[in-house]
Amino acid sequence: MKNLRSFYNKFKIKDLLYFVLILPISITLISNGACADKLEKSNTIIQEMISKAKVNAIETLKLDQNEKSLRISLLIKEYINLNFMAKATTGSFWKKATVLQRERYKNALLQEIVKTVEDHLNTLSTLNYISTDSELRGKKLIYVRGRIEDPNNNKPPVNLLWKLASNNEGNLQILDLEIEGISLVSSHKAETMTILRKNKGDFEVLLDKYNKKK
Amino acid sequence: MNDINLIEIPINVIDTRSKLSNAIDKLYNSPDPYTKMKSYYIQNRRKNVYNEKYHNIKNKNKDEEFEKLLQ
Repeated sequence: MKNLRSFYNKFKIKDLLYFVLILPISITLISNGACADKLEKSNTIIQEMISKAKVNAIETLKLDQNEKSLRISLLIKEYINLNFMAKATTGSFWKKATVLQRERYKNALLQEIVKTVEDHLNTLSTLNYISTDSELRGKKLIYVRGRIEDPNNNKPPVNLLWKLASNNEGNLQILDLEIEGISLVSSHKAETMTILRKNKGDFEVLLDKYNKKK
Repeated sequence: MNDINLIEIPINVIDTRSKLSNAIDKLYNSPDPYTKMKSYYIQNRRKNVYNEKYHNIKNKNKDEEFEKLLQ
């Protein structure tokens, strides 16, 4: 009891106020600031990628299809977390793949992503991208929502949702893209998992299928 | 007038098909076109049928899966 009283006496009202009010407020302000900074960064990354895609679309107008695809694949590779996407699209079978198979699969996946999005990216030069909002989801994920609009109103607007997270080096990268609710990772996962399940997790069969369809 | 309506429907179908020809060709070139089309269809139906609450729950499950993979 004596100890408690002496502790109470030592504690000035100023210290008490600091612990009860100021410390939690400052912690909240700092964490809110960090969140806002992360959201701002995510938005900037998406805007930067879109403007690069626009420039790329104009610059590659006269180039042949292979060169166009190569330029787009380099651009996409810079912004996506390919390692994560490869893991997410193969589920538990990823552990069964050898190092070489993993690398070959990552290349095949990149080509598939390029095939899926290159036409849309090439038409971006005539369209406008508008960022609508961004949201922090859980500990690591960030959602960035946006819309592609035709300035002449000939085409309906397309809603986009980008999912981003920091990689091991601390750089924000794209994990998934949802176009009008259709997820890139989910559709690739459905496809690869069906092939892998049918073939008892044999990556060679999956890679052969990708190579045959090239 | 009726004759015009009769012609309009098939012309619209052909027009839509030609607009989507690139996307359809790409779909056929994927390793498993049937599964891919099924996945696109189901995701699109879910988006149109279910409400915001369902999508939030669905996204929450996906987020958890993503966070596990990021560890």
